[in-house]
Amino acid sequence: MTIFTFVFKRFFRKKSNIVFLFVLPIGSVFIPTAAWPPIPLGFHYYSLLLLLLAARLGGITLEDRTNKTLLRLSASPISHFQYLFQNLLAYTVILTVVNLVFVFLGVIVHGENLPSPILLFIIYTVFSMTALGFSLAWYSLFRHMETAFSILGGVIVLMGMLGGVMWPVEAMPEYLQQAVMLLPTYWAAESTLIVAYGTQAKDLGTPLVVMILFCIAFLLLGSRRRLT
Amino acid sequence: MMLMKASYFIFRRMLRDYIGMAILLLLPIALISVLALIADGAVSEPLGIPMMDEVAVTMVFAFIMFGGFYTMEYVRGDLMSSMKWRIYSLPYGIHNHAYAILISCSLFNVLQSLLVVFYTIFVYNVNWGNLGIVFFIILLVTAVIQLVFINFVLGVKKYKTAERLGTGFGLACLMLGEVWFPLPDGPFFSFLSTYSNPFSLGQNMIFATITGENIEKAIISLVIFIALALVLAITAVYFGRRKLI
Repeated sequence: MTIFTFVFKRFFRKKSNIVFLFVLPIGSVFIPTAAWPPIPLGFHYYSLLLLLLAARLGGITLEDRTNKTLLRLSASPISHFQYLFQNLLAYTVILTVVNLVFVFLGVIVHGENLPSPILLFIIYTVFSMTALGFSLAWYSLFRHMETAFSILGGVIVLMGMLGGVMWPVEAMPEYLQQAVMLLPTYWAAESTLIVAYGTQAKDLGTPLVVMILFCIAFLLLGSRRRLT
Repeated sequence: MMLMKASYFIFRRMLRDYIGMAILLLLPIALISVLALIADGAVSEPLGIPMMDEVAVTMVFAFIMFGGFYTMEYVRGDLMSSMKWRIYSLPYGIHNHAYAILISCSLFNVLQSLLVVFYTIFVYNVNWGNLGIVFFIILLVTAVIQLVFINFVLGVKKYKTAERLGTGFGLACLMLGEVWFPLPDGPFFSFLSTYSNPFSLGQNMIFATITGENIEKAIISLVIFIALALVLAITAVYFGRRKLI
């Protein structure tokens, strides 16, 4: 597991990364509850933050590709599967810690107003994986870090808007309500809404399974080995 | 004369920068189109103008806040990387080049914003009021934003820090302008959300042109803008003299 430990060393060596990882989630804990949804707003928007954080983490793979680390790795006795698996595992661990801190702070700040923090934590953890898969697939399309990251910002906001994070999906025209089910953000928003309205936990099954399926699909798209 | 020529060539270079175009031109158009889906027909409460008009104004100004990255990139590319030795060896003052970058980036940004404005007019029938005044306001806001960003890039030692400052500045403006969520009530916060940042100041002026109300708010904003532009221009000259020897 050398690559696994190395990801931590590499990521946390830059102090700015730590700030980036925690500043936005901690800030959004304090956003109060608005008219919609019946949950502190930061907890509903958190899926977008996860996409952003995952994009930052997943950037390491693109960096490896652009500075030819991947090419050198392919000459070493490490399989591409091992490389990807250990990288993704490390990112998942990092994001899970962030989720844990986020939910924990949420319980302290909002107390009773936060419905079932454990379910929220499960949703966030599953969505972190989807987000990592998404960032991997996204970066496999680009050659320059700057370009990929700056376009991604816009794409995330668009996905959030269409996926029902910013406003209920019902506010949009009929034909779009069906189409946006193809976005992972839709399912993240859907599952936080299920928790917010306090419906039964077993309703969470579908969104969680769909998110995992999305994760697999994205991983299949993004895990192709590209050396250039 | 040389200034004009340099500006013209920088402008031509910018026309080929497809990524910048994608982010600052296509993205706002995409966002406006998505927001139009849910805004249809609704009227925005305190101002009494259609929701769509408010969305259009917000989007145009939100993207102007990030337009300064053009200036930043070109200052770095031409005056702070190895390219600078080539520019220094020309029979042409380095400050001229900085001015040229400032001028062409501002104009390019104004052009992009106007394209978005025309898109909203033709597709969504948004009422912007007098287009001449809109042009003037956009020009003023853009100029101030470019000055802010040139201050960042010249005043800070590392380019990466300047970049982060730029992003932070843009996001802070949007946050103070109450784009994402309303700020708490109280006189202090209402002052913050009205006069504290170029985004709100620009919005004040545009809304005054559209509705014809709150003229004094718009005039105060205009005065703040002109003062801001002067101060920023002076500091930019100061930082520039220190950095670009």
